[in-house]
Amino acid sequence: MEMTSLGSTEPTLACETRGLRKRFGSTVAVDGLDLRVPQGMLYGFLGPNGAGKTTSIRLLSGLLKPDQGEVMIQGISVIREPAAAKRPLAYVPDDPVLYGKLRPMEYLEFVSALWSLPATESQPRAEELLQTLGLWEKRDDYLETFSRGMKQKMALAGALVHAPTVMLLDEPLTGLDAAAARLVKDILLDFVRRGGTVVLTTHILDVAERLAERIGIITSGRLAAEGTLDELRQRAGETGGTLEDVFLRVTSATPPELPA
Amino acid sequence: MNSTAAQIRLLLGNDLRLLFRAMLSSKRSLLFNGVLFGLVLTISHAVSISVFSYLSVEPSLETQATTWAFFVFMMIGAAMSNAIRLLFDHNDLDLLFASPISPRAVLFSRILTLFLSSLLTTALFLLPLINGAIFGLKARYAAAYPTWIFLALISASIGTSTALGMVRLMGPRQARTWVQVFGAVLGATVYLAFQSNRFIPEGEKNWIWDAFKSVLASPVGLIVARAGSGRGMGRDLLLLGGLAIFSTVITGRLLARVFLVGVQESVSRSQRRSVGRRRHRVQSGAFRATLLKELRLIRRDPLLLSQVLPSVMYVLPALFGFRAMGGFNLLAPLSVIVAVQFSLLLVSVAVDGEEGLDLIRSSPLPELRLRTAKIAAAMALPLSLALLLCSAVAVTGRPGLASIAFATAAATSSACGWLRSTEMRPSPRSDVLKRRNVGMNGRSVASGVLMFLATASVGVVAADGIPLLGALLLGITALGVLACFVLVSPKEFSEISESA
Repeated sequence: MEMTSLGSTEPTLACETRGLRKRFGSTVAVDGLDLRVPQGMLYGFLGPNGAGKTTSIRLLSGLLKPDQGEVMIQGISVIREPAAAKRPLAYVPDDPVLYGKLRPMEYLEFVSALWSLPATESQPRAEELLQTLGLWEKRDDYLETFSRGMKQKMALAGALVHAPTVMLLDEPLTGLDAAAARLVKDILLDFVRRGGTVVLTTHILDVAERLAERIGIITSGRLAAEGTLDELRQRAGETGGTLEDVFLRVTSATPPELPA
Repeated sequence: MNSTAAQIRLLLGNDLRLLFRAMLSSKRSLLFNGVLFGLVLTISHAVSISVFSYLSVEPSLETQATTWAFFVFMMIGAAMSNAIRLLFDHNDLDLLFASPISPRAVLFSRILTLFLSSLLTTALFLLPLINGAIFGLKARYAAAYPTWIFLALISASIGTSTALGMVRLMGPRQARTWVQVFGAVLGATVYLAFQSNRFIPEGEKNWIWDAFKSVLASPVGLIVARAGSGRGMGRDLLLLGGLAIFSTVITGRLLARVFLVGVQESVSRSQRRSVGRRRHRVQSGAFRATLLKELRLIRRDPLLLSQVLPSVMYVLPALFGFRAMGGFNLLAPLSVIVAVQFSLLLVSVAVDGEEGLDLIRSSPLPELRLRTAKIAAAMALPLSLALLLCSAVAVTGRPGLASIAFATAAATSSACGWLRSTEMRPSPRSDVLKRRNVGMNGRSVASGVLMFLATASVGVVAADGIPLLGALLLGITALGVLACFVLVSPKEFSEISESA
């Protein structure tokens, strides 16, 4: 049993937020988000458009500074010790921007260097990732010639090349064909099996239903419901329903109506 | 829609509407721009009419031909620079080519838009000149208006044909770069020609001017001059008009297919390079990897280099004329200007045009290392140029001066690069150079002052005039460089507009 940085006796959580708030002008994007994601879990973050999923993920990855609250990655504060907190972290945005005039290996070389990975480790890992993700044949092409799906896979390779233990993915399956989506799902499940943690946002409920061990449903910047699929069904009173039924029920109801 | 003319009218109307709305959306109000434009035109008209009235002598046909030649070069340069953007980068091409509109109509409408942009490019100069000649000399100079219009039409056709010809020869991607470079050089020819008196050595001036005059005194040059001055019973004007219409029609009819193929290839042609499937050897270390990445991005973006080129074009007269203007010693201060100016542009691109800002901000890498690597990469090419110039100074007998010049160029470039890198203004890489002058502030002014000091100090040392003054200026420059690093701290990446 490891100690958290706050001195409690709980096991170290992969990600934790407390009372997280973020406002853009007059719009409250995240409103007191409390999230606890244990190590070795695939956590699905669901919510309607504009619910605050992407903002929450960007706050977790240290890309945004919260107005209030705390963000911890493996017990380390992203606000107070950003470099240490970011070391085990990988973030893949929904529309990854890659360097168009770089080739795949050059991109992975740069990403590895950002995480101070020695070449002896990054070279074989990068080559293996390109082969696994079906990009090896494209290794001499500039990234600007890649299709959206290939760019998504390239961003995933970039996330995996420095051997993170926590991955934050914003809509990772957008733009992927069925085979590529299956490949990415398998890679993520394998990552979790090896002890890694994945927090992903998705609007494809089927993906969350099939992949996520725990699901958090966010609406208006607040966590409206959280639990396993069965727990969510029970809470929403839809014991036999699909995640879609639960989702629609939760997102159309106000949080107080739902039992805690 | 059946008639090609109706299609052209529709497309041109749409293009002009968009052009007008783009003007409306400029930072300064339309009223401000209008008042400014009106003021400049009023003053220039007053000056022009006064000068022509005072002289009251018609310029020779050769002089008129020279003037028209300058403006034709300017218009062709503008047409070529705009041609690729209008022909291949307009975001309505998918819509147009998916519709039943003929490629010929699209090409004609683009040529006409280029024609209008060529007219606008020269309007500020030609309007006062023509009106000055009409009111100050003779009313028949009104023929300069149709001459101007015909030359603009010919320039637009030449610009379009050159762009499409280069697309045909070297493919859309390569052509995109070389047309820009060629257009910029043509545009700069006017400036270089005006400066030529300063840099052409006395002994060579006569034969160059003789050759130049013989070209202008050729039938073509004289036709334009006669048409513009309203001489020859309108015969030359008719000839010019016929040539303008013929060149436009021929360009539109013959090159429509090249245009269509170029558009199709510009989105479909792979950029695969024959690198021989060599195994890429991954490099360790954030500084080295960042340096390599930035160098690759700069080297592989010829469009960027073609955009940077015109910005340093103004040093060309000095570069060409160093023999006439003070020998190889002139290259010493010139190396400082080239290094600093060029470095500043490339640092802007490396810093503001960072495409993977989220990736960098989500990494644990210390920002200082990344920033210094970016500056170093941006300085590599400019300092290589400076080294070349300094080597020439060293080889011709002043190695001491060469060393001082190179050290000053390197130190000043790094300080100015640092100043520039401390304020990041994220923008798409292709827009960085267009937006670089937005938001001039204390740091920009400090960079300018430092560059001036550095150039002046090396210039004084090169002139062998007052050694004490040279040493003093070098000392002040060194202090300025030091102050930049000590006093100016960078804006953290995490502080950069979160919503960006």
